[in-house]
Amino acid sequence: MIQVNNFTKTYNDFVAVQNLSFRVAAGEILGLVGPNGAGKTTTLRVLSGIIPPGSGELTVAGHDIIGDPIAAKQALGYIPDDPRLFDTLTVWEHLEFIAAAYGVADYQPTANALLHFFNLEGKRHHVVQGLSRGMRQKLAIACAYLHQPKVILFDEPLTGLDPAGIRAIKESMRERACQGAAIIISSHLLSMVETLCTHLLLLDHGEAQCFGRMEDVLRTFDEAKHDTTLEDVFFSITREDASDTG
Amino acid sequence: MTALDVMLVKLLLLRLRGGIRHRLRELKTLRGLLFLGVTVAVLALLMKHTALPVNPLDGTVQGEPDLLGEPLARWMPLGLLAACLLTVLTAPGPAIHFSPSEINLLFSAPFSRCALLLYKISFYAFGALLTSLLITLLLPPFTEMPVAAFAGAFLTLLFIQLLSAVIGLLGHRLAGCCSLQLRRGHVVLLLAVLVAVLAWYFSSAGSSLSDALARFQSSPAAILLLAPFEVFVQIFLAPVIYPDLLRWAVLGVAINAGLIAAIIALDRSTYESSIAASLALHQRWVRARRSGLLWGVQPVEGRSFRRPPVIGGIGPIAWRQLLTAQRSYRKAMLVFLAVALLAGPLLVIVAAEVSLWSRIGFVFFIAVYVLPRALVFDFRSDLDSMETFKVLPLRPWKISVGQLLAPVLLTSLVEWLLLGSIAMCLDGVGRVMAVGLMPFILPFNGLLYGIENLLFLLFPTPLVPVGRVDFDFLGRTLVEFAVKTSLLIGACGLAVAAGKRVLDATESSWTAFAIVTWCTLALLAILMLPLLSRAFDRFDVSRR
Repeated sequence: MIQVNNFTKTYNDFVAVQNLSFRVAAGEILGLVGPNGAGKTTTLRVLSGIIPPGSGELTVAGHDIIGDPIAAKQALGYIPDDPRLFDTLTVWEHLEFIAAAYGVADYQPTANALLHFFNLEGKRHHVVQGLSRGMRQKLAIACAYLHQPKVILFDEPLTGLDPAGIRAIKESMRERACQGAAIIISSHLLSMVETLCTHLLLLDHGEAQCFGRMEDVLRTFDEAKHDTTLEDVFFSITREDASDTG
Repeated sequence: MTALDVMLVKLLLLRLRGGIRHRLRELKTLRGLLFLGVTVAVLALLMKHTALPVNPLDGTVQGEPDLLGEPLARWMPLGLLAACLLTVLTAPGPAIHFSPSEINLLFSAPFSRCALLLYKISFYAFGALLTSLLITLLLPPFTEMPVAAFAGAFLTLLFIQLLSAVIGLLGHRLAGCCSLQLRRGHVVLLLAVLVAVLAWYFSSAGSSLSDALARFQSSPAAILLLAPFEVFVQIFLAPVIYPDLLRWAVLGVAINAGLIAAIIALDRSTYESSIAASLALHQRWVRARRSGLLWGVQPVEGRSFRRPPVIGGIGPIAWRQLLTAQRSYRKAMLVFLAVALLAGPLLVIVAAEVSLWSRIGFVFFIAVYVLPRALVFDFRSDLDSMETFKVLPLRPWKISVGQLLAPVLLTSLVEWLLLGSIAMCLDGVGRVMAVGLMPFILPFNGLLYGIENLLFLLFPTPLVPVGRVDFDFLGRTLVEFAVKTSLLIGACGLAVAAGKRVLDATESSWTAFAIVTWCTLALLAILMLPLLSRAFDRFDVSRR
């Protein structure tokens, strides 16, 4: 569903992502982790068509993001780390807007169900300017789900959410994956990534340090001690990397 | 008075160095070089325009600075008073504005409030210093010495800033003492009534506006009121360094020092409200970045509208901008529509002797500078939402059309009313011209908003100033206006030239002239679309 081959992105002389390759199949949830500045957000932004890639082949639902960007975007839902909503529109109007822009027919039942699921029914006619950070995040996710995307990209999805919101969104991610969506979650919450994701991609300095099924990655680092956590793996790799570069 | 803390001086110097470093880095980019080139060109043009004519035979300067300085001496005190009042009334924030980073980092640090105020005033002084250099380049025809122009400009700018801060703080204190909320609108209304009464009183003898102002200036109350302002005029016009310039400059410095002391004294009672106002201003600025202008208001709740029209993807974008206009700019739109309707009768009453070209100039000014800056619901109000548009499965040209539709239509509506109102109150050639211009409004606005948005996408910057003195913003606005005017005049000239050719070829068929001119203008507006689409496509959200 998501295919990335030899992707490289540079800003002037700075290499943000270098020679990155990975794939995410339908029903899989890929956890994208790495220290600050590792290239996670750049990767997601390039996949969602916000910024152009430097080089490499990137396809979303079988559509090349450079050659066929409109078809690729039609199959994609992207939730940025800071939800960018239109301050003058109401909650319901956001869903109306997305339905019209993505050409979703008979969207009302789905939109109502999403508002109910994210506990936003009472805010239906509220202008989003007055919503809390968590509510804005929930609305951004509801908008991304409305057109039933085959690929969903989350950048730090749980920021600002209350415990009920966190549970609801985690549940919705699993549900979407079960329905056949390919999901990428970029996050610093390693315990959440470990429990939720089926696959792992660890980036550091723009390069893939490890990629594979979650249990395979954990097993690889399991030699020294039992019950290795993702946190152990993360620090093991990034510290080695830091000492190499240092 | 506590001296300015050494660490705050260091911070000032670091910020100055950072500002210079930022400018130098910008010069390495094509955008920065273009900006510099246009700035230099605009400055050169202004300097040439204000320079005294030189006799080509003997190289002597023609014209007497004394004579040119006369209007400066006559009108500058009144102008300075007006500038102070305008600064107080139009400044969006508190008298002395601290940014959130300054509040977070400096207010919790071991600095006295007095030191912080001095730091901020020094910060303003740095800005005034740079502007004074610019003014010095433009003022020679009106002053005897460049050093007098520089000292005069610097001390005057600082004086305006400090006096408006003192007036602001006094207003704040008065509002606190009287337990009443003085609203800016009420103050503006009161002042407008006062000005109208004074204008009526002084012009009751049937004299012109300048005579009435001169009579006002010679009244005892005005002499007293304008006395401090006279000091700064004398600095500008000082013929020699000693004793004139030195004497007046010392007096100017003393006045400014007195104002600083007054600010420190008044600030003690408005400390808390000043912090709250600073934070509120920042919030307002953040909101203005999203919604375009400080005039826009943010509704909390509204009736959700029915599903937007699709029209190949253009519909939802235009629908959303129209909703923004309806929700946030309803009052601004109503004001513009009312002004447009009243423009004709007002022009007849106030300025019966104003020439036709002056009226056309007035309409052009409103159309090109006022409306596009006041009605901002296109790409310019979506700097923070560019990611959302980039993710939509729509071609860039569709997004561009959707973004431009609402402002073009609404601006055209205001201008049609404006021209209609003027046409109703004119007869003969004036009426024919006003009516004849009406069809051109739509393609002209398409072109105008196309240029506005293209410049914004190429050089994305917020449309609102930060705080009372944002010299960066002033410079950018000046350059943008120069570029925009050049492009518009070029495009209109091209359209008229095409029409003229047809006029000549068809033996004075004005209908053919109008059709060809309209089509050329419309074609140029449509040609903006691929440029806009390209600029939107290339807009890099990660680099802004």
